[in-house]
Amino acid sequence: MTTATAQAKDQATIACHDLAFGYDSKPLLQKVNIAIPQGDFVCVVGPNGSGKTTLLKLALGLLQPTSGRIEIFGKAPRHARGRIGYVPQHPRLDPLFPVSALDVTLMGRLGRAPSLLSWRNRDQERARQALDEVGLGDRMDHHFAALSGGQKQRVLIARALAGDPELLLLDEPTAGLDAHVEEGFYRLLEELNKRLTIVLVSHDLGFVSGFVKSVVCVGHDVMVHPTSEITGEIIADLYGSDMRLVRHDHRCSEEGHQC
Amino acid sequence: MLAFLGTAFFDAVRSHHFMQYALLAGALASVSCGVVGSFVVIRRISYIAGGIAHTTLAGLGVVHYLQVVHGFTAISPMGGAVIAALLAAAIIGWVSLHLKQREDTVIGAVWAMGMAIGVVFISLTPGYTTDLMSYLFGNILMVSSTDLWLIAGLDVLVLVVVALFHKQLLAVCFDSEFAALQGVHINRFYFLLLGLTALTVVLLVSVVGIILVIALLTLPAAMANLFARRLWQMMAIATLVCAALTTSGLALSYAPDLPAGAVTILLTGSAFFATALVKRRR
Repeated sequence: MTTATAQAKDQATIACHDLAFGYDSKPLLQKVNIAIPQGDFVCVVGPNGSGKTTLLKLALGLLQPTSGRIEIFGKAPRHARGRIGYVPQHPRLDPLFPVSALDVTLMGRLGRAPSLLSWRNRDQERARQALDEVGLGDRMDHHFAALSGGQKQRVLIARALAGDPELLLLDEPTAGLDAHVEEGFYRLLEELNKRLTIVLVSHDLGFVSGFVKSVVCVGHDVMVHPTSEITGEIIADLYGSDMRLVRHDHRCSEEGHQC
Repeated sequence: MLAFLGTAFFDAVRSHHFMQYALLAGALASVSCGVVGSFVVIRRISYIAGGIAHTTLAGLGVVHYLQVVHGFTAISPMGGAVIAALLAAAIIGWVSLHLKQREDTVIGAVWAMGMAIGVVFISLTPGYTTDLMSYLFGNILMVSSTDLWLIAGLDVLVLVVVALFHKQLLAVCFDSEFAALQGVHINRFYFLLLGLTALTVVLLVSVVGIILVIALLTLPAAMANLFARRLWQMMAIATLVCAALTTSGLALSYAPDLPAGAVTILLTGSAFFATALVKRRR
């Protein structure tokens, strides 16, 4: 390894070194070696059950690797949690839960606020800012359950932003969203990508739009590709031969070709 | 008819200490019932709460036996119920964290064994078995001033703990994985929640009895959940509903000499179904 690449790896936001993971001795992920640089916008794709969400949970330190290691900002994930914003899938949350949009967003301040008694003004202020940033400043007091799917997803992003993260991890953020909602959603992520590294997991390749800078394909191997390198062959290899590639990266930005 | 029931009831409240104690016990227990019941409903642990409630019979039975047979007076039967409930909460909590797949089976086992221990000790105790009936179905008219102090003390404890940790408790109930990522010790808070549930269950046992506790703990909170948009609103509505139900249960049961606990639960259940139907039709 040359000094230059060693340095690049030190600076990586997420770095996996020979990472392996399996449930009950059945290997799911093997020999994963990837490095995601700061400021990247990564989409993790692969068929259902390939280990995409597992990779995300390893990055969060919710699961421990069977062998190898994963580092976030050069540290074990548990010690980097204060710098990670996590956005889970919203449909698994109880729809009748008695919380307002602001209540949910404030939960993103738990790691930073004193543990006893109520929220400080500072926490409330930061949560309001985060809701403003995702375009829900006028819905703060609305019942979380009464918001639309897209709005709930935005509240969960605001909750992650309220903790002032440097890395945003999203699990299937567009599951169940209408196409036009999805479009606005990606524009929000593009805006956030100006200051945050973003990694999102998706089971479909439909999103690989101009916003995404690189793609991590999870199959028998885990590989990073710049968006422009995604070919029919890679997809056929990942999803099986029935898949067809529909080209929609017609904008062909420079970023798409830099690698 | 209602006027007659009302007059008889108000006369009794004016002239009898036990009626005043009963009303006060219902009102005091409603506070914990509304606050902790809300957590039980949103965290969906009513089956666990049911298990804890039934194991209190072990504590009640053992202490009652020791009192009658060995003249043991260090703790009251209600104190015994507190110990049994906390013990059951610890066992069930440990099981549900470590043996997720068989959680309900084990809760069922703890539930039944707790009751069996209670029944064995009650049968060993010489005297009338009416004690068993009052444990199972409650006898709010038997509440003593000592019991009232215990209920008030537990109320204060529950309120202080919830005031201190409401942020974490809410976050753990809403999305425990996210709370864990924020550095919240979710297992500790899960045990704390089960502990609060255990204490509240004991309060309610004295009002409606072991078998009927679960309805009073969860149904007012479930009704409140249909209207509240925030947790504190849910708690406040549930407390008021619970107080209204225990008071009217007492009032309606007094003149016809019906068991107050059972009447309270019939009112609670009817109110729940009526509310759910009305809310659904809208």
